[in-house]
Amino acid sequence: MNEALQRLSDRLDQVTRWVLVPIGIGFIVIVFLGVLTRYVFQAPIISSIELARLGFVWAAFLGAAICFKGERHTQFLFLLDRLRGRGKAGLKSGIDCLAVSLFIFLSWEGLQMVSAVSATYFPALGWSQLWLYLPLPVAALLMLVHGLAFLVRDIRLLADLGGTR
Amino acid sequence: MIGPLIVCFAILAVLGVPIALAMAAAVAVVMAFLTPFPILGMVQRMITGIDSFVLISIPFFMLTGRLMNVGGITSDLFRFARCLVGPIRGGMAHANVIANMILAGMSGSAVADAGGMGVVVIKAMSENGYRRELAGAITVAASTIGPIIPPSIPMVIYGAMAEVSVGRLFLGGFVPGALMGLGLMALIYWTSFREHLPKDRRYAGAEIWDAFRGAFLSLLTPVILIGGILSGIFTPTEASAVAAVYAFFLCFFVYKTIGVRDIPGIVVDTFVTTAVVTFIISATSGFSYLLIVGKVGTALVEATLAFTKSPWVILLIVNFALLILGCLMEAGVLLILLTPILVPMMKSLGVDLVHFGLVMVLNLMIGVATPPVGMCLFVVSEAAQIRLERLMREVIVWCMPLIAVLFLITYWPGLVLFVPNWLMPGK
Repeated sequence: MNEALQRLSDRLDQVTRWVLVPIGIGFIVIVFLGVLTRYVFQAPIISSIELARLGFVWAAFLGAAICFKGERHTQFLFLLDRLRGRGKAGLKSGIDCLAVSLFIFLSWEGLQMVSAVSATYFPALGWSQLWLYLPLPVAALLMLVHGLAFLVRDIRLLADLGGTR
Repeated sequence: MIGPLIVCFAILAVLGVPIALAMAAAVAVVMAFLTPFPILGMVQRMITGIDSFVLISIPFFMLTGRLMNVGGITSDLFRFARCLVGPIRGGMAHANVIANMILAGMSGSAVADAGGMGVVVIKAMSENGYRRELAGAITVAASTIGPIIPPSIPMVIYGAMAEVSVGRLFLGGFVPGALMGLGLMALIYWTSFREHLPKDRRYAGAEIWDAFRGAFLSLLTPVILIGGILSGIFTPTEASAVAAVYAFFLCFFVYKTIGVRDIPGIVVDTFVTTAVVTFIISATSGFSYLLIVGKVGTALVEATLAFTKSPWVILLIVNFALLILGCLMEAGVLLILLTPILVPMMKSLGVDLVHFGLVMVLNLMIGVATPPVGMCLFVVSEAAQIRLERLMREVIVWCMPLIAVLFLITYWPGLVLFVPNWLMPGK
């Protein structure tokens, strides 16, 4: 189960990176085109700001999921750095548990939010607002898988350290 | 409500839970069990907190800085700066400061500046008789000018959270940034006698012209950014996009330092670095909401006014508190956490929010250069292979001119407000 979960987490991370590239490039192009069409061609793309906001929110949350997988989110490490062996593995497992619980909560509540706003629309684009709120549950689900993979890894480490004590 | 929120957040953060998750968990627990507000409000604010056209500039400034570093423009800038100030005693150290000030006009991040400039400059300085620790410490201190001279990522974050004009904040950074550079150069000049620092030969006019030509295209980046904002052609967000596309054009077509294959990696890296900041802003949005409904701002203002009614005394206390906290916590995190708490207090005391923004950002930037959690220290120590504890000892004296400028701009608001009042009045 551990290896399957690790593989799933790695594969999802890879897919997230592939998805982030066109979203990121598209977002950059849209903002730049918005400037170009407004000031050079005097023919602004009305929906460019809404598209840019959408692209940014998606890129920010997908980036947060990649960041979580790479364990790059800002955290205080002074306690973790001072602990050794089982103490460290135990604390890391506890942090993983909290992260997993939070991601279950954010996935569920995020989907509720998506459902609640699905009947409202962007004024210029005419698209449903669910596209603005969807990145949160998507990122939370991705981070849930990564969090579970970390949890299984750290519990196994804790068990190994217990066995060799 | 706020007490349990802060205690819950502090415990989780100290245990090592990532800051964004600790904040989101604390807000979720408090909203679920201690308030009558629907929990869906927190989720909504996690999205609306980053759904801002102003914050969109963050990845663009990060991308510009990254492209400029990848494009190798730091060497050109250092060469140009060396031609300008090299013949002064301690010339390479002066050139380090000048190059950092020019780089500050392109990138909005102290850490990016320290990483980009560190390797090139410290190597050159140590080959010319400077102690590596001294070269490293000057680079760390000079890199803090990055987010003060526009563009500036911390100012974008502050502007979005405090609802202050980012254009005015950017303009407010010119004089403090120049003062920081001058302060560091004065200390370099004084140190140059004590440490017997070398000076360069006088450069010929043709050499200076050649160095200027080498750096010219890069030097246009701040002109595009600030010129575009000032002339009213671009908003700061649009200017950041134009600067990023220009930096890409330079690296891809002119310098040819990046190829098509590098683009996906650069894009992913830019958004992952952006996400470190935006995920904390997103998680903190619920916290800001609870501060408002819990009337924490009002309570803090009342408690402060009961103690003193002088904005100068309060600014002094805030400055000392931020300097201490800046040594202990990451600057971006502090900025995001404290802006919603301090801004209502400053507003009620009649302190100009552009002035306070500069004071807060400069103060927190000193934190990125000071031990034990100064990010620039870690970056320079790693990039230049200098032992961290030696760099930490060396850097303290180089923070003194920065602290002097901090107190100067705190008690002389005109130094900050003169340029924005002149060029963007009434905005």
